[in-house]
Amino acid sequence: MSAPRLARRLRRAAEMLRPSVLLASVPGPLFLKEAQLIGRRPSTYWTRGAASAVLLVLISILFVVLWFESTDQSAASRLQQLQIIAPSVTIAVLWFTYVILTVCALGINAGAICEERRKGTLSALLTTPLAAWQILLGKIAGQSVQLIVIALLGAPLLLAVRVFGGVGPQTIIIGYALAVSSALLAATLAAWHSIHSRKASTAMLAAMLSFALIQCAPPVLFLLLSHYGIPGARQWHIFLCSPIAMFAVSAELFGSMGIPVFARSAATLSAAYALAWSVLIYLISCLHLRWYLRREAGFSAPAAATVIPDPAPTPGRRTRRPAHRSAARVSRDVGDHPVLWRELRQSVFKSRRNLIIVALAIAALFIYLYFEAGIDERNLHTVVTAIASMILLCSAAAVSSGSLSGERESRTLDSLLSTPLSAFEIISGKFAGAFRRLWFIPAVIGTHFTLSYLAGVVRPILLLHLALILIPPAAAVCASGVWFSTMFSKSTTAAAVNMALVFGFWLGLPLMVGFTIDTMTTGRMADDILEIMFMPNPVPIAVVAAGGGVIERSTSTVPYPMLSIGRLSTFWFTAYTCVHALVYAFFTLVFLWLATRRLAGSSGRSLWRSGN
Amino acid sequence: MIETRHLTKTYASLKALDDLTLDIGPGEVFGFIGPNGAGKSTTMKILACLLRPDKGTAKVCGFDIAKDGDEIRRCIGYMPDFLGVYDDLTVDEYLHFFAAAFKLPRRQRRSIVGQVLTLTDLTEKKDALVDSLSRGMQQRLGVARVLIHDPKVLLLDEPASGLDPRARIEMRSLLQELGRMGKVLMVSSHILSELAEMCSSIGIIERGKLLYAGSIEDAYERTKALSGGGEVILVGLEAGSAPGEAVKASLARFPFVIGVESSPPASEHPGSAPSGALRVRLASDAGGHHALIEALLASGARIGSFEPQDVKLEDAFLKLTTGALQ
Repeated sequence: MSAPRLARRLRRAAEMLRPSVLLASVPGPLFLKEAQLIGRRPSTYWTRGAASAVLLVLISILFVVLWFESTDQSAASRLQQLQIIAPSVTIAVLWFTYVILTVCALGINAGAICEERRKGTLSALLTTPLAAWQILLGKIAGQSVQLIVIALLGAPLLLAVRVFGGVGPQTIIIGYALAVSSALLAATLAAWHSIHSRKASTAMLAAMLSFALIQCAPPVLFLLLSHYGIPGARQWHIFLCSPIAMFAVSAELFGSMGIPVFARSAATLSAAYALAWSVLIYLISCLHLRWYLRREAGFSAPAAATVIPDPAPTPGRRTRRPAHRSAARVSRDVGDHPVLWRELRQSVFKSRRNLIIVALAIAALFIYLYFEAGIDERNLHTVVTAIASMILLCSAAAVSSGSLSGERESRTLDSLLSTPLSAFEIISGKFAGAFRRLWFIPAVIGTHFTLSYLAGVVRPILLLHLALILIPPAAAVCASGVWFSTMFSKSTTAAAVNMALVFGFWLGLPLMVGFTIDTMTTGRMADDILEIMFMPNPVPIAVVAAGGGVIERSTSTVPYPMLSIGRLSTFWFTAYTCVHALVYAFFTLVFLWLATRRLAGSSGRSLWRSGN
Repeated sequence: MIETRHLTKTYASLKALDDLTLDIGPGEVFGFIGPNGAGKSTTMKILACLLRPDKGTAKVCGFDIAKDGDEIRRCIGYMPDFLGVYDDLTVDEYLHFFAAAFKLPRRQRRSIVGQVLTLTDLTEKKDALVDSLSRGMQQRLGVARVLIHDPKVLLLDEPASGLDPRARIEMRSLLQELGRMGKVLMVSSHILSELAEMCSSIGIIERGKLLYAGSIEDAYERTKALSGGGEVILVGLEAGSAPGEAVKASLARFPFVIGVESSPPASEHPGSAPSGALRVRLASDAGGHHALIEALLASGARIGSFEPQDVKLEDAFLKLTTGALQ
C-alpha cells in the first residue's frame, strides 16, 4: 500500500473515531431501526416474560421460605434469616442473568447480516453512506437494547437483597459486569459469524463454539505453561474464563470456599478480557464485512470507502452464488422420501477441505495429548468426554432449530407444504437430517475411545455406555428443536428457546431446586437432592462413565461413583444407562409427535398417511 | 373447478378478505387483479390449503379446503409470489424432489421431468444448481415444479414479477400454452396488459372485496358503458390543419359524434400530431370510420393519424373500481 493511500486511510480512521462522528453514529438510523424492530417482535416479549417468570419463581421461593422460617420469630431473627439466604438468591440471579444474556445475545445477533442478505435488504443498506463499521455497530447496539432490558429485570431483586440481605455491592457489580461483558462478546461473535454464514442458526452455532474457545483459552494456556514450566503462568489466568470467574464470585459469597483472594480482581479482569475480545472481534468483523462485500461484488481492489455496488439481491431475490463456486454438478437420484433424501445430504462442513482441516487439527490435538498426558490418563478421558458432550448437546440444540423455520426463512416452506407429503414424512425427514448432522462429535469421541481400547486403557463397554448416555439425549434435543421450529418463524428464536430448554432442564432446574432445598434444609440431604437433580444431565453421567471405563491397574473393582446413589457395578451402571436411554428415547418420540401434530394441524394435512 | 363462498380472512385488525365469492369454471384462465395488499395472495394461499379462512367455504376440483387438503394438494399446482429454492440442489434434483413428494412412480419420473424441462425450456440447465439460475429461469423452474404432477388447476401468484421484458414474454407464452393445454389457471399480476392477452376471465379485488368477476369481454363492455358507450377514435391533426377548436365545433354538429375532446398536447403524447389531437366518441350504431373521415375533411382538418382506441384492461380496472370502495 502506498504511503499517501495509507495516510488517507489513517486520516479517515481518525475521522471516524472523533467523538462527534461516533455520537452521530450511535444512535444512528440503523440503531434506531434495529431497536424499534426488536421492540415489535413477539419473541422479545416472550423472552422478557420468561425471564420475569423465572425471577418471580425465585422471589416466590424466597417468600415461602421466609414465611415458613419466620413464624414465631422476632424481626431481628427474620432479618438474620434473610441474610442467610441472600447469597443463594444473589448467585441464582447472577447465574440466570449470565446464561440468559449470553444465549439471547447469540440468538439475537446471529442473523445480523445473513438475514439482511437473505431478505435482499443488504443492497439497500449499502447504497446509504453508512460504512461497514457503522452497519455493524448499529446492528449490535440496536439489538442489544433487548439485552439491557433483560439485564435490568433482576436488578430490583438484587437491590433488595443488597439492602436487606447485606450482600456487598462490589460482588453484585462484578457479577453483572461478567454477565454483560460475556453477552457483548457473544453478540459480536454472532454478528461476525453472520457475515459469512448463510443461515442464522449456523452463525449461532459457530458463535457458540467460538465463545467457548475464547473462554477456555486462558485456563488451557495456564495449564500448558505450567506443564512445561514456562515462566508467565499465573493462577489468575484461570479466572479470565467468565464461568470460572462467576464460580469464584459465587464462592466468595459463601465465604471464600477455597477461592484465592485475588479471585475478585481476576473476575474484574475477566470482564475486561471479554470486553477486549469484543472490541477485537468487532474490528475484525468490520474488516471482514468490507472484504466480504467487495469479494461478492467482484472488486479486486478497494475503491470508495463506504458505498459498494450492489452485491446483494434486489428485494425479492435470492443471493446469487459467488462466481468462485461451481454452478453445475452431476444430478443425483432422488429417493422416494424426498425430504429425508435431501436432509441426509446436507453437509456439516461447507466443503470437504474444511472437514479435512478440522479433522487434521483435532487429530493433531489428540496426538499431542496422547504424548503429553498419556492415553492412560483418566483425567484426559473425563475432560474429553465432558467437552465433547457439551458441544454435542449444544450443537443438537442449534442445528435442529432451523428445520422448518429455516424453510420458512428461505421461502421454500409454501412450496413444500403444497405437496401431499404427510406431516410425519416432513418431520421425520427433518429430524433425521438434523440428527445426522451431529455425526462429527460422536465420531471424534468414538475414535478416541476406540484407540484407547486398542491401547488397552479402557474397557469396550465404555463405548456402549457413552452411546447410551449421549445419543438419546442428543436425539431428544434435536426433536425438541424440530418442534420449536414448527412454532417460531425465525430459526434463531427456535434455537435460543431450545438452548434455554437445555440449560433450564439440565442446569437451571437442578440449581433452582438446589437453591430451594438449600434455603429450607441443611446438611447432607440438600446435597443429595441436588445431586439427584443433576442425574438426568448426560454430561456428568458421561464423565462418570468415562472415569469408570478406564481400566485401573491397582484395583480389580470397577466402580462407577453415581453421585448420591453410591458406587455401581458395571452391570447396574449399564442398566442405569439403558433406562436413561429409554427415557430420552421416549422424550424424543414425544417431541416428534408434538411437532408432527403441530405441522399437521397448522397446514391441514394428514398426520401419518402419505398422499398416494 | 374453483368455488369460494363468503371467504373472510382477518390478520389482526386488517381484513385481508371480505366475503369473497367466486367461481372459476373448467378451462378458464382467470386473471386476478388488484393492488398490493388487496387479498390476491391470501385467496390463493387459502385455495392451496396453506391458510385457513376465518369464515366461508371453498372447493377446488370439488374438494373442500377444510376437509380434503390432501386431495386438493394433488390436483393443484401452487406457485407462491416469491419462489424460494433449495440452493443445494440442481434443477433436475429439484424437480425429482417434488416428483417424489407428489408420489409419482419412480419409473415415470425421469420422463415426466424431461417433459416439463422441455416445456419450460430448461433442459440445458438441468444440471445447473438452482441457485445459479437467473430470476427468469427460477420462475420458469417454479412453473415446471407446479406442472410436475400434471395438476388440473394452477394457482400462480405473480408469476411474472421481477422479470425482465424478455423473460416476461417467455413466461406469458408459457402460460398461454398451459391455457391451451386445458388447465385451469388462476394468475395474479399487476401487469394488466399481460393478463388481457391470456385470460378468458378476470376478477378485480381491492381491500379484500371482489369488485368484479366475469369474462374479459363483459368487463370491456361494462367499461364502455361506464365511459358513455360508443367507440373512441384518436385523430391526430397535421400542421396546416384548421384549428382544433374549430374542428371540434364542426364535428359536434354531426349526429353520429356523441363527444369530442382535445387530447393532451404532443409533449405528453410523443406519438400525437404536432397540431394536437382529438378524441372523438362515435355512437355505436353510427356509419363508422368512413363517415368520420368525411366529416373531418369537411371541417378543414388535415388528418395526421386515425387510431381507433380499444378498451384496455387498465381502463376496465380503473372504471370498474372507481368509487367502489370510497
